[in-house]
This record gives sequence, structure tokens and C-alpha cells, in this order.
Amino acid sequence: MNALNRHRALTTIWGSPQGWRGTATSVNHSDIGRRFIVAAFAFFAIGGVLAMLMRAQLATPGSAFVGPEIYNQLFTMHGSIMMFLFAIPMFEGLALYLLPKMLGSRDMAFPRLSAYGWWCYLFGGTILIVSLALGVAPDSGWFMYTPLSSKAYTPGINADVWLLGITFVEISAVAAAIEITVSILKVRAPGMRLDRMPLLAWYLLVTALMMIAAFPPLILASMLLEVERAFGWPFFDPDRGGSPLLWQHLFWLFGHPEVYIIFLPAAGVVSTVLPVMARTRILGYGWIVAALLALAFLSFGLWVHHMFTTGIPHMALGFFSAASALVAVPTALQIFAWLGTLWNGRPELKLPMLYLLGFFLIFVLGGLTGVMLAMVPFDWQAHDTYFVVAHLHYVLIGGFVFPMLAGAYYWLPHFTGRARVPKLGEAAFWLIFVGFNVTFFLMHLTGLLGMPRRIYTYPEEMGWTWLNLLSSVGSFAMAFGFALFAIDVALQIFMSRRSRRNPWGGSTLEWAMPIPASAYNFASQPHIEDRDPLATDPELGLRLARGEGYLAEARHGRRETMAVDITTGAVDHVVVLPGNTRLPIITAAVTGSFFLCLLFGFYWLALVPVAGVIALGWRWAWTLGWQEDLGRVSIRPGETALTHRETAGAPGWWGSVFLLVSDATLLGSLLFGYAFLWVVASNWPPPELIGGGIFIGLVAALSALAGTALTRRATSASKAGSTASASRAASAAMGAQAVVIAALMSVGITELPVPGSHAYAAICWTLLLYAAVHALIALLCAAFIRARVVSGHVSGTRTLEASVAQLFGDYAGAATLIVLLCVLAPAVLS
Amino acid sequence: MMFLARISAGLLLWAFGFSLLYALHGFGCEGGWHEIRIAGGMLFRWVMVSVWVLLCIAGLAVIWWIRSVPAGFERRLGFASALVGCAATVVTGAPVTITSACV
Amino acid sequence: MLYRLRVTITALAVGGCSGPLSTLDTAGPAAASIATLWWAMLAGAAVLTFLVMTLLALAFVRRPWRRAGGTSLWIGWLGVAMPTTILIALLGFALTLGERIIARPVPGVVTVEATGHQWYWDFRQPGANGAIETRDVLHIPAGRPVDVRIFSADVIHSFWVPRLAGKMDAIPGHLNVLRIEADWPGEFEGRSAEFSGAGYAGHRFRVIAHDEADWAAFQLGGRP
Repeated sequence: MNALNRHRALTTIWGSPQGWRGTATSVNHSDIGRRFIVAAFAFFAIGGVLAMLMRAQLATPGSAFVGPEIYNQLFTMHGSIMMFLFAIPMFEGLALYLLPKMLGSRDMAFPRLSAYGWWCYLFGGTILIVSLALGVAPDSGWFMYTPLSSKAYTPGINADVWLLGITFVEISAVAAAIEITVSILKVRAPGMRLDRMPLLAWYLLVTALMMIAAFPPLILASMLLEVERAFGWPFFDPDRGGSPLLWQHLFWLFGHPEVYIIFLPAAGVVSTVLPVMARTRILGYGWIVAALLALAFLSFGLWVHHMFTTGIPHMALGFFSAASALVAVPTALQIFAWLGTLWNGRPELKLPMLYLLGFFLIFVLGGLTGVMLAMVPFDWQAHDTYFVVAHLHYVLIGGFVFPMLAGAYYWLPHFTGRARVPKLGEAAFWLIFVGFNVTFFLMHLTGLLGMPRRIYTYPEEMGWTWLNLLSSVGSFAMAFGFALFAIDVALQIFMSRRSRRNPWGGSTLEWAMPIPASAYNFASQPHIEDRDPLATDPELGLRLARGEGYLAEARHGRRETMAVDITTGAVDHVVVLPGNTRLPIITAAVTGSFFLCLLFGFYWLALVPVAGVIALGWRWAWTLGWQEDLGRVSIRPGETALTHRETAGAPGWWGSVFLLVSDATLLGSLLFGYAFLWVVASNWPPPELIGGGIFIGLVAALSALAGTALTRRATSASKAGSTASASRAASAAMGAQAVVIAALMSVGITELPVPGSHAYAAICWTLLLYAAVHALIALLCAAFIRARVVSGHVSGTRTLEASVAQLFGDYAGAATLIVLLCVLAPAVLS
Repeated sequence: MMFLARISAGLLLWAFGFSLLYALHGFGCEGGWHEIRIAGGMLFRWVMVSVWVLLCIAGLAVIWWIRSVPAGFERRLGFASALVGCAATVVTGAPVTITSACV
Repeated sequence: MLYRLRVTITALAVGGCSGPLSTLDTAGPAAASIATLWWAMLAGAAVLTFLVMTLLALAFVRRPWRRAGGTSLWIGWLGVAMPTTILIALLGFALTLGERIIARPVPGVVTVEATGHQWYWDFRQPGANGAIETRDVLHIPAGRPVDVRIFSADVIHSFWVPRLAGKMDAIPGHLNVLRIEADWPGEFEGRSAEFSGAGYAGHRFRVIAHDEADWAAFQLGGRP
């Protein structure tokens, strides 16, 4: 088969239909990645317009441009949009588009999940923007402190829009995190050992792992607050045993890692683009990876530095102050690694490098003010002033937007296949750079002069007038800069001349393909021998196009890509990926209708979309797989490998593991809440509220153990090929899980007070519901396995689904036992 | 999974120790340990300092343990994270010695 | 020595840094120590920025004396050893400074209660003839430490008199204590520093520090 015929055959398999049908059904990572990037930029523009309105209002003292009701919506939405609808999705888009290309692979591990995440993001973002247009946008600030955001002080739906809309968008973030993790760990080109991965992949891996652990606390907090608002369960109400500080802990437990989740991908872009601009290799690869690991962990020990003024004792503040200072070390390490790389190379002042220089100045200043704010006494003064506003914009715009702009100019030829228009990009840079510094540098002083953030106006005599006026002028210059950037990109897409392959002389695999990239990325997958494959073999792209790599054969209309051993990168198996389908958009729409039902208070109606999601999830899993063995398939002349359903450790199994890790973090956050209230609130739990329930609890625990054991039995029987006993064990497991659910609910009904009466009852009920939901999931998994055993999809060799079901069964059992232990502890202790 | 555990063992220990110190601080202040005097100091200080010292020793033990991993990228990474974890335990726990209790 | 340095810096700063809510135009010991910390950190930050920017600029200059350098110089010394040393020193300094500011028991403390409401502050303190309650104006004696016991009646607020001390949140269901002190008699602007809804921009109050005679008169119920 020659290169052109192979191109045609692979395009038929991997491409998407034209027009609306293609839009709705495509699951291709390049399509989804591009959509994320374009949508994120659109949301960035909306968030930017909101910022301009705020700057217009603040330009003069006592301005009557907007009142506090509008202004409060403006800053709440500006923060929420930039965090949740711009920064995270922009990084997701970049990861989805680039990762498979940099890893020498054809797609991400779970293409339908990327598409589902995309539609959830689009629908959730739309809900937020519509609320803004209707004037009922969230207005309690982007960190939504209770009790201001609780029903008593925000009676309208503004807060509900935030809680539900953001949670909806978070689904896409968690989906992307799991997908990125598994894709990096498993779906790489053969030979790519972990220490041969491009650095950006390390950055994205660490970021994704952080997201898996950091988003559950926010999702949990949002659910608790929404339940408090909707049903009066008093998690955060101090009059009924709750605490407003619980919200702050959970929010910042997410919120601080979030800052690094935003910064790290951008730092990865710096580590990728900077060595190319300096015509050398990065200095200290291993050191940087170690620094990333340190950052990932340390960033979870900083959250209380957002709460230095909440009255926590000085010793505890000291722990967090020390951790906040320490986290600067791995960041400094990277800064000096980049400087050393520049010194070792021969840097050229091309446009991406210009943006990187801007990044250096701005980010270093932002980092230094960050260290200042980490010092407890200084934070007592600077907290919640414009000093913090200045700091966070220096870190986020310097640490995220500038590297992303460098990355945009670096990779745009890859997206468009064209070279840029001269001069416009430089003009945009200077407008953005100067505008930014005029706007935000002065804000440090404004803050030290006592201007608090979030006030919609200020009196003349405070002495902030000229500072604010200059900040406003600067911000408009910056806005013009971004507009010019958008124009520049549009000109490049529609008018510019074609670019040659690999225009920058990059050494990573994404340049080993014709640009713009085809749907399948690589006509055949490479075997990787070192960290800079294109530097050692500049002709690699041509050889791959000629089919001199893995999986050069387009066969049976299957989307095939290689999976490797996590550490060694040795060939592990062939993954057969699902093709285009409407399932993601339909499932996202049904998920969205669930959130809309909650938003408008149709709580019983919300059960319909829940049932819909279960049915669609069933179908999601059902449409994959085969009723016969594929056996070993050829991967290149003389080499064969098994397909993923017939091996252990397939991407689906790993994905389930990381999903459960994320789920366990959610449970952990809930248990933290339980322990926190117990310690902080006095007389908690009130002795008169403590019931018994040991006997029913024992019933629930024993049936949970039985459910787990029976699911395991069903799995091992199906692996042994005995269909009848597997299906019997699965049926019995379903029965056991049903008993678990009934027993858990009767513990709640007979032994606990009504959840609205006290935070103790509310949090115990939440724990019971958590266990019950997981028992239900385990029940559904057992039912699914039973059906698949009967239909012949699961067999002694095709074991993937059974091993996934076993994971969920084990988790449900463990979760039920932990929950029972906590709920019954007060009864046992008293 | 073992790979991820080995390359982050030291940092996991830091995360555990950090949470433990913060939790003990919460329980101690709530339980009034700073008002109980024992062996010339307050119970609260004794508990916090000794737990911190034990955690630092555990950090050293992890560094020692990582040396048994076969040489290569994995060991270098594990070694770095064990060093960082131990240093972070020393620094982030140090306030137990100099700051006032429960104020 | 430190005190003299502080006075000089304050005098220098008063030009561009004065204002009714300025954290740099200090009038109390806590605010003054924090301002000292700020000026020290500013100086350090300026040096470090200059270092990084110089190294960055030199990377673009081709000169024979410029050596490349390996990982031990760039990463070991500059990337790890230098920041760790600086940060640990700064941390120790800031923690000891914080110890001097927090509300540890000392003799002669005056205690007042402050309750934040949407959008006013109620103050309450013992007087010669029973409790004295004031709204949006807090009376304290100059030159004596004052512990403000801070409550909230509704949402979270934050009690902040920038020229005297840092801020402390008023959280429903929790009691927080902030130590403030005014070096001399006078009026000091205060405001809430935690967003609290529609009336937040105007959520301000005043602190009046009295000399001994006025303080005695105030406690007897007279309003000087």
C-alpha cells in the first residue's frame, strides 16, 4: 500500500462526517481539542468584557456607571469564567489536541469521554452565560462564601446557577483528567519509556493527577451547599451545628491546587517552546520532573493561606505559611533551569520567545509577591485588598496567559498549516505587555493604600483615584492587544501563505507529520529511542508516512493504536478505540437536563434524567466489545500483540482505577467535613440526637461484604469460562447490594434525626446516601456483567469488563464499611 | 501503580505527616492540651514536638528505603522525592517549636 | 535600632503612601512591624528580580566570558540552595514577628466587643456605669493594647483598621480576637474587608483613640 492510499484508508476510518452530523458525532481528539480551545477563547473574551466594564466603573470615584447589584455579578462572573470556563478548558483543549501527537499515538484513551466532556462544558458554560444575560448571574464572589451564598442572604437562583453550572462543567474537568492520565501512562508509542516522554507530557500527567485529587472537594462542597439551599440540610449553618468555615476549607482545598493546575500546563509549554527557541535541549530534565512531583504534593498543603484572617491559631498558620514558602522552591528551580537552558543555547528573539520574556518578568514578580503573601503578618494587612488582585493577575496572566500566547504562536502553524502575518503579533505583544503592567503593577500600591477588592465604588478622599484611573487606561490597552491577537490569528487562518513542515525545527513528535494534521495523526506509529526523536532522525515523519512503523495496516474499519507498559514503554497491547457516535452529545444533554431540573426546583422530575443517564451509560458500555476472540493481531512485520479486551491492564481498567481514586477523594473530603464539624463545633454531636442502629448496621456491613465477595466470584467464574455459575453469582451479588441499600436507608430512617434538624444528621445522611449510591452502582455493574456473560461478550479470554466490575464491587464494599463505621461511631462510643 | 507509589513515597509521607500535625493541632486545642502541664512543659507542646520529630525520622527512613530500589530513572526520582519529603517535613513542622499554642 | 529604622522609613514613605486606609502610614505597633516586614521583603524582591532579569538579558548577549554552566550551578545552587535559604530565613523572621502581634495575654489589655452586621458595626465595652454601646465608632485608649472580640450577626465580615493592625474576620458561630493599639490619640479609618453583599462598599467605621483624660471621661459616659 503506498502512502496516498494509506492516507485515504486511514482517513475513512478516523475522519468525521461533514456538516452538522460530524459536529454532533465526532469523537476525534483533534476536533474536540480545537473546539475546547476556540470555546475557551470565546469565554475569555466574555470574561474580558466583564473586566472592562468593571474597570470603566472604577476609573473614577463615586461612578454611577453600574450599581452594586450589577457590579457584584460582574466580578463573580469574571472570576468564575476565567477560572472554570477559560483556563482549565484551554489547557484541556491543548492537551487533547497535542498529547496523542506528542506521544506518537493516534488518539486519546477514551475518545467518547472527551466528546462527553466537551458537550458538558459547552452546555454548562451556556447556562452560566445565559444567566448573565438575564441578569440573574451569581453575585456572591467566585469563592461563594457561606452564609452570604446561602438561602437566607441570596434567596434568588443566582447562587444555584453557580453551584449547578460549575459542577456540570467540573464533570468535563474530571473526565479530562482521567483521560489525560491514562493516555499518558498507557497510550504512547512503543519504546517511549517514561524518561523519554516529552516534558510537556510530564507536566500534563502531574496536572491531571492533581485534578483527580483536587476537584472532588469542590464538587462535594457545591453539592452540600446546593442541598443546604434546596432542602435546608444545615452543613454550613452555625445555628444548627454547621460551620461556614467548612465551606472555606473545602473550597480552598480545591482552590489552591487549582492555581498550580492552571500554571503547570503553561509551564510545560515554556519547557517545550523555550529550548526550541534557544536551539538546544532543556537543562535538567530529571530535576524538573522531580520539581513537578514536589509541586503536586506541596500545593495541597497551602490552602489555609487563603484563610489566614479567619482566626486559626498561629501555630497552624505557621504550618501553612511554611508550606506556602516551600512551594516557591520547585518553581524557582524551573525558572533557573529555563535560564540555564537559554545560557546553554543560542536564543533567537522570535515571537514565541518575546512572549516568554514577558512571562519571565511578570511571573517572577507574581511569584515574589506570592512569597510575601505567604508570610502571615503581611497577609493580615494585604488579604482581600488590591495587592492580592495584583498578585493573582501577575501569577495567572503571567504564568498562564503569556506562556499560552507563546504556545499559540508556536503551534498555530500546526493547527492551520500556515505561517503568520508579519508584525501584527509583535504589536499585540507590546500592547498586552505594557497594558498589563500599567493595569496591575499599580494595583500593588492601591492595595497597600487600603483599597479592598470587590467594592463597586470608593470615595475621593481615600487617595486611590489616580491609581485606579491609570489601571483602567492600562486595561483598555491590554484589551486592544488581545483584540489584535485575535485578528492576527484570523488572518493566519484565512489569508496567510502555507507553512513548511516543522517550521521551528522542533524535536518532538507532533512535528513528525504533515500540517495541518490528519485525523489519524500518524500513518504508522514510531518506535522511540530517545527524548528528541526528530533531532536524531529528521526524516522520521516521511518514514512513518511510508508505513515503516507500527499499525501501518488499515484493517476492518477499526481505530487501532498501540498501548505500552507504563514504565518501560514496551509493547503491551493494541487498543481498539470506538468510532464516531451521538452517545456523548445525547448523554451530555440528558445530564444537562438533570442540572436544569435542580436549578428550577423540579426535584422529583430530576429522577427522569438520572434514569436516562443510567440507561445511556449502559448503552455506552454495551456497544463496545465482541462476541468472539480477536486473538493476536499483527502490529508490524513479524510482530503481533493482543487487543485490549483480552489483556490485563487495559486503558478502561486504569480509567476505572483513577475514577475510583477521584471518588475516594470525594469520600475523604466528606469524612474531613464530618471530623471538622466534630472538632470545631461545640457539643457535637448533641447527645440527645445519637441513636443506635448497631444491628441494622451489621446487616448492612455483612451484605456489603457478601456483595463484594459475590462480584469477585462472578468475575473469577467468568474468567474460568463457566458461564452459568458466573451469572448465578452476579445475580446473587445484585441481591446482596439491594439488601445493602435497604439496610443503609433503614439505619437513616430509624436511627437518625431528620437531616434538616442538625448538621450531624445532615452529614450522616449524606454518608449513608453516598454508600447507597455506590451499592447501586455495584448492583448495576453486577447486572451488566450478568447480561454480558449471557450474551457471550465476556469470556475466559475477554476479561476487561469483569475486572472493571470487580473494581466497582470492591470499592462499594469498602465505602459501605467506612461509612457505617463513621455513622455508628457516636452510638458505639456513647 | 507501584511505580507511582515509589516515585512519590517521600512526598506521600510528608502529606500524611502534615495532615497529622494539623489534625493533632485541632484536637489538641479543642481538648485543652495546652492547659495541661507535664514534665515542665505543656502537654500540647510535648505531643506536637515529639510527633514532628518522629515524622522527620520516618522521612529519613524513606530516604534509606529508596536506596534499595534498582538503579535508574525510577530510583533517582524516588530519591529526590524522598529528600524533598523529608526536608518539607522538617520545615513545615518547624513552627511547633517556636509558635504559641492555640492563640 | 529597629525602631529608628522604622521611623525613618515611615517618614520617607509618608509622601506617596499616606491615606486614611494606608497600611504604610502606620499609627500602631502591629501595623508598624508589618510595614517593616513589607519594606524588607520589597527590597529582597527587587534584588531577586534584578538578578533574574540580568541573567535573562545576558543569555541574549554573546560574549567570550559567558560560560554555559551545568545543572549543579543553575539548578543546585541558584534553583534550590539560594531560594531555600532565603525562604527559611524569611519564614523565621515572619513567624517571630507574628508572635509579637497575636493577642497573647498581657497585663493592662482593654477588651471591647465588635459585632459585624450588614452593613454596620456595633461596639460594646464596659464603662464606669455599665456597658457602653456605640455604632460605627469604636472608642479606645491610645497607647494601650486593646483586644477586639469579633462576632458576626449575619454573614462574614472582616474588622480592619489598616493604620493600626491587620484584619480579622467576623464569622457567624465563631469568636475571633484581634489585638490593636494606637500609638497616639486621633481618629483612624476602619472598614470591613470581606465581601458581604450589596452594601459592602459603604461598610466603614471609625476608631477614636483617646488620651488618658478623654478616655476617663468616655468611660464615665461623656462623649468628648
